Amino acid sequence: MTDPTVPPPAPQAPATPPPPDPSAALSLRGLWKRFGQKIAVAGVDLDVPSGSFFGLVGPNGAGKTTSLSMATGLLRPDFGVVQVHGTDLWAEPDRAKATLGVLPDGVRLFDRLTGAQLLTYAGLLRGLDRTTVAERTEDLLQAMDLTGDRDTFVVDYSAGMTKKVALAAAMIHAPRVLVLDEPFEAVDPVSAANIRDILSAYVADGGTVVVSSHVMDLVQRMCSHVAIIAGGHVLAAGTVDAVRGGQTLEDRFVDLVGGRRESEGLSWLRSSSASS
Amino acid sequence: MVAQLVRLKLTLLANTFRRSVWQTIGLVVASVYGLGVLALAVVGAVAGGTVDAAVTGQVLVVVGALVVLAWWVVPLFAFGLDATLDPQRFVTFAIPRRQLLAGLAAAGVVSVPGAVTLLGALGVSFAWWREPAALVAALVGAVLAAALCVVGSRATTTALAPLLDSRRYREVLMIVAVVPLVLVGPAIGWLADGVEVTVEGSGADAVGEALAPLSAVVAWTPFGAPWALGSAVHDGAWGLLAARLAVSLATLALAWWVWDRSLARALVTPRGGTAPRARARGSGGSPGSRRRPPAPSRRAAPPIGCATRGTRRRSRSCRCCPW
Repeated sequence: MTDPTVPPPAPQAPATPPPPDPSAALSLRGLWKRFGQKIAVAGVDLDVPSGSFFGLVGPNGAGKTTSLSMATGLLRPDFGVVQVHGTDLWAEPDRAKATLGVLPDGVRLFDRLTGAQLLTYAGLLRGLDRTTVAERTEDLLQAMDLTGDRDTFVVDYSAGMTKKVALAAAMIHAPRVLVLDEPFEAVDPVSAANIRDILSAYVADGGTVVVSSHVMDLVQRMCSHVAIIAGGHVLAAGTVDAVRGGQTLEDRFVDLVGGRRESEGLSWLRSSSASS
Repeated sequence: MVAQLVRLKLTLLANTFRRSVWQTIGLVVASVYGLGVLALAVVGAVAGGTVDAAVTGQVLVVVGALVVLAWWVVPLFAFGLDATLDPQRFVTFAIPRRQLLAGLAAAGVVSVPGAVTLLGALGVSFAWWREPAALVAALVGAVLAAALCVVGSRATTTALAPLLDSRRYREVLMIVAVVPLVLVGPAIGWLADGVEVTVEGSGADAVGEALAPLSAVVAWTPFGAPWALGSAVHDGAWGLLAARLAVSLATLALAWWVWDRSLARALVTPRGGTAPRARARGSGGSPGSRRRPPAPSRRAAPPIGCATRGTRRRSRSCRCCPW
């Protein structure tokens, strides 16, 4: 929180953040998280508009995963408010989480279940009835191209298949907001395209998707909104076109975050200058 | 939700039959062994109860207390024994905590040790078959004792999980837990003396004399109290019965509360968050995890158990033994 008497440091950051926006799918205000000596997230304010395809980009260690964990109820923030469609997540976790679908990074699944069993139990544990679960399990297995591996144990799946089945498990209760941490990591291009189609259709039907990614190009093509986060702060947020402002998203990102090295660097790595 | 979690546990158990021949063999061996121990305990208790119910009751208190103690302490070193329903796997399902707790408690009985403990506790209660009132009290005590085993073991493992992730506390804890193991020696010696007296002396009375002071003390501990309900009725000591029941219920309530609190914390504290254990994967993950590398291995060998916390995450085959 900035002191109200001090002028705002950046034009896009108001001195006092407005109260959480109840119309937003996800509204974060003043989120802080400290791990030991290091402050991972230092006052994140973010509104994810309802019905948007929202990309969260940032360098390694920027606080993306930590922010998303706090926004989805997986990690308790030190300070700050999270609202999901106007419901305070940390005050009413059961009600808010029922409308959320989450794919955390490095999620621990019940990997001793088969793909079909995992989806079935994901639905049942979410409180769905048996017939609905059976229907949706088949639909999701088909959509994720996992029908052939429905009876294979998840522990024997490849990294990409595991990602897909975890994504399907996050979607089975038809959440209003999907929060996906690096959903395309290790997924092959064909499956990634299929997943993108599923997510786009989901957004077209009024759902909200939040993805974190390192791949700027993908975010620029796929997302309607984007936030650039670095050092635990949101540096820019808004529609993709507004944020990139005529540049490519990647150039804009490098401008904001910095860290590009112009020097030659690692001269010993060049094969031409191999030691004699 | 309770039914779903029990079914989930059974499905996971059934899947091990399909997945691994060795785990199946292990499960069968464990089951046969468990059934053997069960049969032996029940036959012994009923036979003993027929000869001298009072002394049998004292034996049951001491042995039962050791069983509860083992449930509380052993999983701290062999947590991998039952990681199938690790709370970390439930975080994304947003199950209301009370339902999750009740389900995990019920599912905790669905394992070879859980089933053997429950059936065994109920079975040995029939040592009091000559006295219906004492039998009923003993059966109530058996259910309480089994609940205390399951809930207590979850409470200790969940509450101490953050400590177990740090090497320094693990070493301290190991020393603390060695204390009861050290006491096992003298206890066995004491019991052996008693048996010797029995053989040389005048039979059951002598065993009673040797055991009486021990069981009198143990019956007041949280571990022994539920096992001593039958003998309180047998003695017609209603005040004692109420007191032991109170000790059992209070312990169960306390263990439940500790488990509830620590589960609530565990569900919003991913491993590697506050505890200095690095996650194996995770780009840009919690930065606190980078402060220290993962413990390469423990300096001292673990005294019990095949799978320690350190090795569990690395060896997949050992991570999910189903019993």
